[in-house]
Amino acid sequence: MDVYLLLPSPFAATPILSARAGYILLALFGIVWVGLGIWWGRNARSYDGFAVAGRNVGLALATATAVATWITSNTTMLAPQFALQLGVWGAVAYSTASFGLFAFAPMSGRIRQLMPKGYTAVEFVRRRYGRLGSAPFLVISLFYAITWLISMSMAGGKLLNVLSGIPYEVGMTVVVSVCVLYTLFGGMYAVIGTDYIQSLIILFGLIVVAVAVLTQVEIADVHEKLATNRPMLLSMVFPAAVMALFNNMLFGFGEIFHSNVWWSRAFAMREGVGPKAYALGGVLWLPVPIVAGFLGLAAPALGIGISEPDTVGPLVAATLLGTGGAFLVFVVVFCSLASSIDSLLAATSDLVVNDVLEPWVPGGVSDARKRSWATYSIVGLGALAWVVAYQNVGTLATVLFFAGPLVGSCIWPIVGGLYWRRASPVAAGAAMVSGSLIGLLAYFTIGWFVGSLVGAAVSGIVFGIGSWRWPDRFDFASLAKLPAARDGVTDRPGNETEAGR
Amino acid sequence: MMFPLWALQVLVIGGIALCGVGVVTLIVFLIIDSKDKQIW
Repeated sequence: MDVYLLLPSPFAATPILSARAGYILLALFGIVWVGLGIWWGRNARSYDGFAVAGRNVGLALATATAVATWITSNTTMLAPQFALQLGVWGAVAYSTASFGLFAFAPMSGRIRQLMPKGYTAVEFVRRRYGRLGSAPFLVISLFYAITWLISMSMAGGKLLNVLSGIPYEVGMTVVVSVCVLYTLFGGMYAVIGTDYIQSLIILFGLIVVAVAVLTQVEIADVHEKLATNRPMLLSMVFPAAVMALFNNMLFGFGEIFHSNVWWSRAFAMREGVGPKAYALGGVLWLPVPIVAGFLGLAAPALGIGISEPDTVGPLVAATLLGTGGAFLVFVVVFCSLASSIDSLLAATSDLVVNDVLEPWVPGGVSDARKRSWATYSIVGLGALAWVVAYQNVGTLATVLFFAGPLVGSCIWPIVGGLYWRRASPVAAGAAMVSGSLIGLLAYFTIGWFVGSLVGAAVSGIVFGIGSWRWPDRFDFASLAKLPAARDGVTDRPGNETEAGR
Repeated sequence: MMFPLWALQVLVIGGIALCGVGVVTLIVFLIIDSKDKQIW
């Protein structure tokens, strides 16, 4: 979950680990991760194996990949800062992002049932709404995925620099290269497999650090210190935090509902596994921002300086656990970064192959050719992320702020498209375009905290009116047939629309 | 009006316990999946 909404972090602090130790850890993890990618890649020779791991992922790996992907470096690094600046509500607000996983749980089952041979979210929208809906959706999806990929790459360079003093360019290059390599060899098998290990490391690391804090200070002391020195952080009516709660929740819904990162996993999971995995993933993700946030709240009671709130979590860990704590933080942050970057590489490559390239080839594309395109697109996306991230333009991460209204405007067309046969192409296209534009206008004229809200509200109204005025009568069963480009039929097989005429 | 101490305790202890449950759950699920040859 990316909460850049309040706290565009400058990441400036004293390293907690030597550069030498950082390089050793990077080399170790790089070798292990790439080795695992090659090992799992034995199963990824076909495109189906590479893109959706053979569509047979079991509950353990499915649950873990939902947890690990939703934990970005921001969850572990910024949650303590969020709590330190917005108090208890800040941590609770962050944890509401798990509601997106709960809401997506039944949708994942529906997606798998409707499109047992599907690959991407854009493919669903194209076959459900035709080009009228898929054009804005593809633009939003690519914008969001590529911006997120670049910002995660930048975060990699900055965080490794903060934690160990490794130069930004070196850290960023290593993180991006390692992720590209193991995703390239192992595809979705490597992404989901490493996600399992990463989720265990992250959860275990958080428990160790939080327990270490509790051996040094009582929760009552933390409460007392906050009540005396920073009572606002314990306030139950902290307006900014309450607004953050609703905004995060909506952003989370939009982010998960539209992003191919989550759809590709729904396609990869064995039938019947998706709803359980996403619901369980939400339950297991829910405490992560709260536990990480507690590190921020405990810092004043522990006497740890908070002049640089963006690194309060690592500082607490390193102060209490010494070098071991610093190692642990480095590993947790590396895992958080890798679990997001690999997912974005794989899911965005699916978009490039299935939604940018394949529709232009009449008569469809062979499995081998798609497999080869996937390789090139992953290398291309990695190179693009590296080139842009190398410039280290500080304001770039703020571009992701704009994504709030854009992804918010996709909520209703996606939900309606999955469950409501009256939902029509005109309504979906108009909802996404108007929601995005008016949401962005609200973002710039009123403030960040209304961007997602206005985007989702306008989109919902336009979508409702559009589907009422120009209703469709979509045949959901048609989605189970092979896609247009693969069986040479029309672009939108279930189209019995009144609106599209 | 401030968050009472018990609420903070529930959040923190509950959060750590849930993280622990998460680790155990993921390991148990993997064992079950591997027994049934259902990992992938």
